[in-house]
This record gives sequence, C-alpha cells and structure tokens, in this order.
Amino acid sequence: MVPPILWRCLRMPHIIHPLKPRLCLHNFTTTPPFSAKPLKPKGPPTSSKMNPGKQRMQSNKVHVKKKPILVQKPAYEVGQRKELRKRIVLSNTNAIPVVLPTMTADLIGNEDAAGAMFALPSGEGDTIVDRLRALEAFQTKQHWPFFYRPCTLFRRETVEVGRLLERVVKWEAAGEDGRVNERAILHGYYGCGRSILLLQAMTWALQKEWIVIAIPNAQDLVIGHTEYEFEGSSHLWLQKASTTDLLNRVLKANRKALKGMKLSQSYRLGRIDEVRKGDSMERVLETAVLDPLLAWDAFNVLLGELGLPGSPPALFTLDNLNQISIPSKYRDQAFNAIHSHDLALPNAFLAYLSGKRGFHKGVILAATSSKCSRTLALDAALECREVDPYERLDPRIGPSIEGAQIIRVDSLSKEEAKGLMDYYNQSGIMKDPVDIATFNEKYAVSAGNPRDLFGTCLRMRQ
Amino acid sequence: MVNLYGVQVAENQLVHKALRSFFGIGHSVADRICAKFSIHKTARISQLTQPKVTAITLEMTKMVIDTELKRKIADNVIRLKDIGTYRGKRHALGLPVRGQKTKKQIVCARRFNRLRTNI
Repeated sequence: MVPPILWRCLRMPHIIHPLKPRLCLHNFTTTPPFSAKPLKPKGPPTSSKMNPGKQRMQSNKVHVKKKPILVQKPAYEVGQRKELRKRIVLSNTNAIPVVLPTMTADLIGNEDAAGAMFALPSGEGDTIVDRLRALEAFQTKQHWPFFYRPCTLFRRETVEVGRLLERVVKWEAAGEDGRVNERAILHGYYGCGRSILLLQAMTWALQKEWIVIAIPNAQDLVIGHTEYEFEGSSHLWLQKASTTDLLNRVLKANRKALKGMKLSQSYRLGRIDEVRKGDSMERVLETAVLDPLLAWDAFNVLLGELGLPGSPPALFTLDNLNQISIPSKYRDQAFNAIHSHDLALPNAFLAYLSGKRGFHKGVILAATSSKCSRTLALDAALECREVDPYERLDPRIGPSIEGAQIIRVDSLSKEEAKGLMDYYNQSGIMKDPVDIATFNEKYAVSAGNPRDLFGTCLRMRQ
Repeated sequence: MVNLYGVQVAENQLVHKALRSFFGIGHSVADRICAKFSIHKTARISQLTQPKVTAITLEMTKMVIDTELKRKIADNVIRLKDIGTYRGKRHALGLPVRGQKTKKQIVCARRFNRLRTNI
C-alpha cells in the first residue's frame, strides 16, 4: 500500500545557517594541524627528467633481495652415510635386561642346552663381542638394537655345528698327530638363522683361542667394487684391497692367538720384505696390513702356517656362498666375465671347503644366502641330485663343494620357538603375555621361521 | 688433476665417467678399456698409477675418438656432397636426409645436418 505522505517529505529541510562557519572536514590524522608540512602542489614535478608524454610504468616484478651465494656444506661427509648404514648397535638401555646364562665353550655340542637362550659373553674384560664385531659377524638386520645385550638361541643346528668343533677339540686334546678338517655348509630357507649359526661357531672358536678367518659377505668379493689384478704364476685374480681388509679383521680378532704363533721358516713378502723364522704371525700381518702389495703373500703365509703341525686350530667361515657360485662382475683383458672361482680369495676358501687344501686342525663353514639370483648348479650340488647332461650347469660348482657336510637349517621346533618367544616377552618386545593361544597363533603365522617369528611378535605391539 | 689424453681430469672423477667424457667413448667402449687395464667400476682417477694413466692415453690415441672422429664424420658428409648425392645435398640444405617429411618438426635436422668444414 502506498503511504499517503511521500518519504521525501519527511526529511528535514536542509537549512544552512548564514552566521555559523562551515565545518572543515579533514581526513583523520594524528599529526597536529599546525606542525604538519604544507601539502605539495599537485601536478608534474618541475625537476623531473622524465618525459612528460610517457607515463612511467611500474614493474610487476617483485624485487627480492639476493642472498649472497654461500658454499653449501654437504649434508653428509664422505663415507658418513655408509657408516650409518653399516653401524651395528648391540645394546639398548631402554630394553629390559634379561638374566641369561653365558654361551661358554663348555656348551659345544651339548644337546641338553638346545631350546634355551644364551647371552654372548660380554663381561668385564671380556672382548669376545668386540672381536666378533671386528670379524663383522653381526649384521645390521638381525634385530640386535631391540635388546639389552646380544643373546642367541641354542638350536638343534647349533648342536650340529658344535659337534664339528667338538671333534677338532677332542682330536686336539687327545694329542693325535693327523690332520682333521671338518667341512660343512649351512643351507636352509630365508631367515632361518644361518648367519647366526656362523656367529655362534665364531663365538666358541674365539673363546677357545682358535684363529678365526671370516669372510662376512662373499658378495663384496664379486661385485667388482674393489681393485683386482692378474697374477701370472697362479693364474688367479688377486684382490689386494679385499685381502688387506680381511687380514685387518683377522688381526683385530685374533691378536692374542697370532702373537703365540711363531713362523716355522722364513718367507718372502712381496719383492723385498722378508720375515724370518721365529717371528710372530702378528708381526707378519701387521706389516701386511700397512702395505696392500704384501697382503696376498701374508695371507698365504698365514694359511700355510695353519697347515703345519703344532699350529692352533682354525675356523674359516664364509657367508653368502651363492654369491661366489655365479660369474663375477669383474672382466678380464679380453672382456670375458671372470669366474668367481678364479678370484683368489673365493678360490682359497673353496679349496679348503672342497678339501684340496686343509688346516692341520680346523673347521671350514660356509652359509648359503637367500638374497641372491638363482644358482642352479649350486642348488643341484646341495641337493646332491644327478645333473641331467642336457642341463647347462656350471661344471665347476659341483666339485667346489664336494665332500662338505650339508647341514640343513630348518625352522624352529616348538620348544625353541617357546624359548625365543619367552625371551622376547621378557625383553619387553611383546605386549601380551605368552599363553598357549598366542604362542600357537604366532608359531603358525611364522611357520617357525625365526625372522618371521620376530616380525609377528613385534607387529602385535604396533 | 691428471692429464688424460690431453685433458685435465679431476682426481675424484670416476675413471669410467672420465672416459665417457670423450666424444666416441660410450658405456661399452669405456667398459672395454677398463677391462683391458683391470680397472674396477668404482675406481677413481686418483687411484690410478701414472703408468696406467699413460697406458690408457696410449690406448686412446690408437682409437678414432674426439676431434678425429668428428672430422671423420664431417669428411664423410663432404664426400657425399662432392659426389653430388641426394644425401649430400640434403645435408648441405640442413634438411632431413632419410626421407622424413619437412612440413614440421625438422629441428634436429636443422641442428645436425650441416656441412661442417671447420673442425
């Protein structure tokens, strides 16, 4: 409805009083009006050099003040990342300490101890763990950082490995003159604990003051990352850098035993150096470690002396046997791939494993690996099956492990798994108490595989 | 710095990579040179002995690489032009040589197909 009076009429009439001064409106400012500077007159500045016809264009670019170029420090120093990757942590103070008996040399071949956990000897003044670390017996993915101190499970296979050592120990104790060489290959599925068995054998050997020579990863010898050189007399490819590393490890781990070894005759190292009869083996290795050119000769001196009567027993181990059963990444001068058996270090080990060479008293242990491309020839040799003549298998692999005992490393038995799971529980890895239902579930899920068992025990916690 | 085939190469350079920096040496040839002198694939220039560097340089002088190879290629093209072949003409015009269409996309031909006489 339209209002009878228009809105406009309701407005007050705009009356300007003639006497009242008109209000001067200013923009808001905090400056008092008297102290303010007079406003600049508008219009183009008189002193401007700009062409008045052209309008000055403002640049759209955002001017960022340039930072001075600094030499960036690399995030990691050379070799630092490798060190981090290979660092082995063997204790965790946050884990609950578990009181366990120590794995002493008395347990060698003891069947009653099977299924129990044992701590590696790491008491005051005991350097076994350090020596094992020097031998690179511990690996990064063996879950050592979860526990207070390194402990291992005593298994049926440990008894079998122990028996090999036991035979040599008995032979030594009986004082018999003949040679005794126990040769074995640890073979099984992935994560079944072959490397740990090598570790246990090394622990015992070090406690018995044997000379332990360990090649922790055979892959390093064949991937073509270290220098190599052909030696005409033996028709082998020497790897001096790798040999020096090996001798360094042997020296660090067996210093005491090496000190007691005296040379039975004089040897020539390289072209000039000579070691005399009666010198300690430690001195020979110390000389060789400093000069890679002498390393191979010194290694041969060590092996030669260990083959003589009166020398201490020796343990020679190699992990990842599969890696030296495939062609290496090295090339000869005619660009043919060098067979791994033509490399000096694998050749030396396989000579001992196949029984061509031998210590006076010694154990030779090799462990296969599941992280390797297929090695059909080795698989056939390990299964001891007859090879079809039409199968193109490498003919050198079979004889290289001939005569070695093959120890099948199987999955854990229920008793062993129980012992291991109790240990995990006591260490605070498992949240739930180990009752029969939990145990059966985890044992079934992991199928008794130690690596999987650890995974299943840890997974429930997350 | 080490003098390899007349070029100063940094000490921390991989030997394999240093070899590949020369025109005419790729992965395959570098592999073969390394194998001939028993150089492993992670070897750096600083790890080579001086006799070995000399031997590698000597080996490289026997090969047709770098400027020599470039000149050889250029000579082949000039020969084609001189005997009046179609390929030679196309090279001289900076056009595709092997029957490609020229409506568009002949950037590579413009870049590469030239008579380079000043090598």
